[in-house]
Amino acid sequence: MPLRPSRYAVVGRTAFRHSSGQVVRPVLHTASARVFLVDLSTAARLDGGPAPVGADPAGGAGLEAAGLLVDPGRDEAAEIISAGRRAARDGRSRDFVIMPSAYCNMGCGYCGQRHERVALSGTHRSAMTARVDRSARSGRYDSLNVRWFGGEPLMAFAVLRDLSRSFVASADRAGIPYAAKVVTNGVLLDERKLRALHEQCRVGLIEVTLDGPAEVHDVSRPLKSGNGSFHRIVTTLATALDDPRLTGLRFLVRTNVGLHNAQLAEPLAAALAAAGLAHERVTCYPAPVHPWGNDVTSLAVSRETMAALEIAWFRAYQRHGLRFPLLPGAPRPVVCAAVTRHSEVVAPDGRVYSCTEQPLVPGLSDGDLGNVTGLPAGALRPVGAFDDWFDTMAEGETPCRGCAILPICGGACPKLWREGSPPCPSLRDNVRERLDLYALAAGCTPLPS
Amino acid sequence: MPIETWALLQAAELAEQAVTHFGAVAAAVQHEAHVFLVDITQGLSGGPLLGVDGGCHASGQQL
Repeated sequence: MPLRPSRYAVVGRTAFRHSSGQVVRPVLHTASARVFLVDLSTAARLDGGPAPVGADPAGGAGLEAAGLLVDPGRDEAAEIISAGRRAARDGRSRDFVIMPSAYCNMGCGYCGQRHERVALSGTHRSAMTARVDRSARSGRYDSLNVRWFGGEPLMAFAVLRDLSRSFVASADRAGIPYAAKVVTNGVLLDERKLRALHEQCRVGLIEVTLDGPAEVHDVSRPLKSGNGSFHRIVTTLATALDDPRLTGLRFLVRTNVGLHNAQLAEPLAAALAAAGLAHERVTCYPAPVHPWGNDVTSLAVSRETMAALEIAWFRAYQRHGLRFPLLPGAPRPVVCAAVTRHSEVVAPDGRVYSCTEQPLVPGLSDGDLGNVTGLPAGALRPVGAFDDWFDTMAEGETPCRGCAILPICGGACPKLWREGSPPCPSLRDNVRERLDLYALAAGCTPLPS
Repeated sequence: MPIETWALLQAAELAEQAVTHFGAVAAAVQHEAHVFLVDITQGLSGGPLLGVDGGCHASGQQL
């Protein structure tokens, strides 16, 4: 029986001329996250057209090896979901999202968290240390990963540093790699903290949020003191990029895009480049304002609008030499911490959750799974509300099973699906346009339409 | 009337040319049906692995 196009072959809209002279269209195989250029006949076939008469058997074998043609009897969606279920169950990476402080020095309008001056107590820290140490010594894991989150995690910098020392020592004794990331508003970063984070706490990635050029960012993300922060944050990052002790430290610059800044890609990109952030260790990306436990209908843009805006933001980044990810670099079998018991979220009061969007959020924070002081040190995270996610998808309770981007999306957000707010990313709407930009970046020349 | 030898040689030569021409045409058809497939994934990383934004601050962002 003749092979059929994979359901995970997504074909770009535009024809290009490759450097070899061949006329091509780009194709993304979402199941492998690989991007190909193919001739127009093959592109048409993969896009649902007929197989060309006298098709080259050797070429067909190449398409099959790339995953672009498959046996018609295969249930590819079932394979993807099964692979995700196995990865969630058998994961070899132990992940902790830790919120050392419930306080934040900013008062962003779209934030749904309630901030209090609470930090992880000594008792909680001891329990955390024991839990991480048992995980490292278990022999079960190939790596230990910690994400520092909040609130603003740097409000409890001493706690973060203290815990990191213990965690790093546990990983080193066990002979397994340790990696850490900090999600911070960036205001409290300085040279001393950056060096401590990178050198002592093994932080390799820091994510900050900048919501526009200074005059917009400082209004959208005001400090509780009333002051602005844009210039301080970009200056700190630019200085860090020149610090010879921080050459292994990378930065993500996120922008929460809403009605207040949707059209400001160009001035923000220009400002970031002028500040020295068009750098190989800095990656920028736009993310839509979401309902993070609160009503953002007056702020948020629709998914369709975001899909078009993203392309404009990417083009602005590109014009100013900023690095940005056009397409996910790998499949995502496990969408988030909420669907694997090898990941857990620890709030500032010691309560353990499966989802990062529950702690500190009124109405959701009582969805905890216990306190870290009450869990056996060697036990996995208790079962949470979303650990049946793969069954949910397999049984068709969401449309993910029929979606071409499932392998690189993973379903986006189990929590929002359950709340009746389909969280499909804008990628679902603009993947073909992203593919075209990808082909351009690869040196192809677009042909007139 | 017997066919002259020169005519037989001429016919043989024409037949050989016809086979050669047909072979060239067949090769061209095969070339036109040849699949062009190039993997351009390498070298276009925009930075650390990123997934899709699922709405939260922690999903989609890998270390």
